[in-house]
Amino acid sequence: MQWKIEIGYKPTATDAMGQGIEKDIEDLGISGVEHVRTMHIYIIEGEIADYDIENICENLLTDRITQVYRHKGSLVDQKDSGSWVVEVTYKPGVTDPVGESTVKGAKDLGINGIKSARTGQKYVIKGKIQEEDIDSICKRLLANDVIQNYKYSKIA
Amino acid sequence: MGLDKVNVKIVNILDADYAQLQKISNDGLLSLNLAEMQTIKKYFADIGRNPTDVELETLAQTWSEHCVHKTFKGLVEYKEYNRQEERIEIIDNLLKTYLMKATQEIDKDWCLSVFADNAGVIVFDDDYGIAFKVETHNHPSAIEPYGGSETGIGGVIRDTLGVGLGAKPILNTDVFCFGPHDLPYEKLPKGTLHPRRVFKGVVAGVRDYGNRMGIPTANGAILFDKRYVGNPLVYCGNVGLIPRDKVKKRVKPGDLIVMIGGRVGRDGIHGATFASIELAEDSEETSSGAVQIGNAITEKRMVDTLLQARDRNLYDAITDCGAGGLSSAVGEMGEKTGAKVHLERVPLKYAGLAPWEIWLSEAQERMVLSVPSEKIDDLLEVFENEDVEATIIGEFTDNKRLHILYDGVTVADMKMEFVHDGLPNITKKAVWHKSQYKEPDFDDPDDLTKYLKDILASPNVASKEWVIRQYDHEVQGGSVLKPLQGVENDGPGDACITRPLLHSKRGVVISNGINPKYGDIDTYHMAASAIDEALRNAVAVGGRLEHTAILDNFSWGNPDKPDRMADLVRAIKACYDTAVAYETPFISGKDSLYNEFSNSSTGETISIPPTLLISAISVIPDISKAISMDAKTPGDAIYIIGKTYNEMGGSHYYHVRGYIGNSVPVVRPKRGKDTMTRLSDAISLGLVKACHDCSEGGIGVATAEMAFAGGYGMKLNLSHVPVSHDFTRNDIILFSESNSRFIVEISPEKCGEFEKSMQGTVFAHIGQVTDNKKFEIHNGEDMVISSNIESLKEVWQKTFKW
Repeated sequence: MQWKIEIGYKPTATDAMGQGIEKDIEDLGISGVEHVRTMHIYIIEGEIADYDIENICENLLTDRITQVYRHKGSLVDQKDSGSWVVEVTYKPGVTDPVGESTVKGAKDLGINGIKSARTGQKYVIKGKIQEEDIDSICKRLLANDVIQNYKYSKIA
Repeated sequence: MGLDKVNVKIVNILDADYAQLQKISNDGLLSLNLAEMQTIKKYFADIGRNPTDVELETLAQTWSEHCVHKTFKGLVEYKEYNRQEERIEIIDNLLKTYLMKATQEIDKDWCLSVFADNAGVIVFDDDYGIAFKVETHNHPSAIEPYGGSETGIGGVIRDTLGVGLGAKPILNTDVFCFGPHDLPYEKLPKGTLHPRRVFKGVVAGVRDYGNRMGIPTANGAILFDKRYVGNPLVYCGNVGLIPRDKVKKRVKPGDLIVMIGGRVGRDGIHGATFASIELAEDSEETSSGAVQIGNAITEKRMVDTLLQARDRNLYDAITDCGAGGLSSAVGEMGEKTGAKVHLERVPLKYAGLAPWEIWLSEAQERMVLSVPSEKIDDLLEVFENEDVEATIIGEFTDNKRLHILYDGVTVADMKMEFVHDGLPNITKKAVWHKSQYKEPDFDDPDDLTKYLKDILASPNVASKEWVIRQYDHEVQGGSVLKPLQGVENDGPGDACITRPLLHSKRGVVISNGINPKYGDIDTYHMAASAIDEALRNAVAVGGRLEHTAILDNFSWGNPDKPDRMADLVRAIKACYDTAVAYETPFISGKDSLYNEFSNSSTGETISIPPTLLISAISVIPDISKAISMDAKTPGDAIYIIGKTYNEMGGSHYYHVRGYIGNSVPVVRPKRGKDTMTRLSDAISLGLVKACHDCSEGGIGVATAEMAFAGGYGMKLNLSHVPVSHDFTRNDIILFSESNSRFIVEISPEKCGEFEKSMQGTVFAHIGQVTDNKKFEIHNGEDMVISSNIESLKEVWQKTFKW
């Protein structure tokens, strides 16, 4: 069984990475970006019960003061209509230290069923941006082709 | 032999002709040249069989420029054309002839381990030594800046951890060279990352790894030049504290080979040979195997566990698994004894690795121990208790052979002697012609304020606070003098001081010197100036030459090209001359060659400027005598120490005005040594309130930085500055970058005593600290600079306010 967990920031918390990326996009010479939100993605495989996934999200992956999580569905919803969503993940075979620590952290919580954990990043980019600009943002800023894959789509 | 069953291939070199030999090397990314391939062919012809891929890969790793330093240890034919005269010299082994020889001649009894181990070690106090190592991680950082710099830091930490029986890492230093941060995207060569991205990625990697390991990052520098676009430089250094009875190691036959730390995957395969080739446009693609990803948490656990095992004397020797992975680590440790390794015992991240991949993988956070069999149970228990993997993978033997097996099948069996000394000696040609640049012909401007601001804002000089603030420079609690100093903690310190033992007042000073701009004119003077700069930075905060050692790190272009090789020879000669004159021994060093980028769209090959980083380490008896660079009290006198010459070649002033010039600053070490020694005396007598080294941007930049860091104005008069008698221009006095100069602040009641203690050296009272925010420099009655410290600080900070 595969679980995809998303961890994002509460509206009241500062998304420092998102703010940094807004500025970096501007530095690329691409204008029109109004807002960038970032999320961590964890793709966990193994035989794990629902409540164990809850436990991992609550106690291992989320800072409950500033962050929220979803392990069913996505934090990206209708409110983001018109924004671009970018997902960046490691290519197969590339060492993923955060993923490795997640497996170990789960074990420390007494959850042994995890076969693998891989991590990634998700970006919700709001603004008037053309597809070619999004592609260039991915290439020049968000993903390194040598070790990462990326995909993007526009939220209807 | 059943080799196919264990996924090992025989490589047919016995039947290969020249072209085929070269093709085998190229196709396998072995970076072995024809002469080397022929030597290998001969060895295997003599024993009557072809090599396995494991054997060939082992030789490629061990003989790579990165591991064996062929250029530094080979023969050089050096030719010099100076004033129509031709001079030829044959040099056998640059490393021994100059760098190591300097250390031997200086012969300091506080040198505990030099050039022999993973790091250099000097005496700290009666019980402890201080280890220091600086490495480069250029090629990996060009491809993947974050992972490249992380693993650079991780690797150099393991170098000090692997010196003797292990030093505890206490401080990191980092020096970077990038392309211009504002390079237009249209000018970015295909296949390279934008310098800004490299910059941000490298800084983030250093930050995350250093901070997570709990090691302060407290010293560094960042330089920019367009020739670093395709080939950035990332120097990572680490300082460690080691008990003096743990400085020596010795592998004993019969000891077990134990691998500790992380598991092995395909990470970083061919990293060492990759470092020995020029980068090309398709580097991003073909070298993805060389990408290493760091894991600070694994390394931190390994460090802590290892130090426990060290203190219980559970092993005889240790080394780090760096470039070349197990192949280099086991090969080096077993060089004098012999080693037998069972590769199937090595713990893997995932299945499917061929034996040669296991043997060569540069998966990070691993080290190799040599453990006596009677201590193995205790050792394994220590590691098990801390949940760090430790695996017996073989044993050291006494047959002087490298014997590798997989599932009982022999996959490699060679004489250690051939592996380590079989490399054919090479002769490199070096030809030096003096460069000649256009001399500027502009007049001495009436008002130099604009140019002072231009230099303060230029990227090499501008504040790096945005970077420094991301690093933890206080963890472990030993920071005495931090990188940012002054009333608002934002002035540029000359060096950092740390106190490794919190119950002792002894401290360690770390500084660096680097200035590739001088190398465009003459690398001899560049190298001499880099040493002078590193030393005066250390002296400026309270270090003393009598207990200062230095490290060399050469990053160069392709040494097969005679002009680059000649630049290298000249720099190394200067290292010898200057180190001997200052009596500061080299204790460790490293070189990274082939730093060139070929742009296939334009057909151009761009070499980095010859870049020598000199790192200095000094031990001081009393940290309470340390001084910072910021101006402290209005009314205090400002002195310049050292003489100013017409030496504007490669200066920042010429740079901002679009020139290089020719009159590069030279080092006059006899006078320089005397000046620094006297200044150290004055500092230890408590006569000096602030001291700043005079380097990039000369007197103008040094005094401005002192003023705005302290929050006070300054009023100076250039007519008092001691100068050579061949010029009168204000811009030269203000911006010349002559070596061995300092600006100091002395309180009025101590001026007499200070002047007495400096007797015999060149110095002069040039002005005072003022109680307003004005920064004014005159020459006689003429106003040369008129500004205020807020606006100077603003332009200095603005460049990298990201």
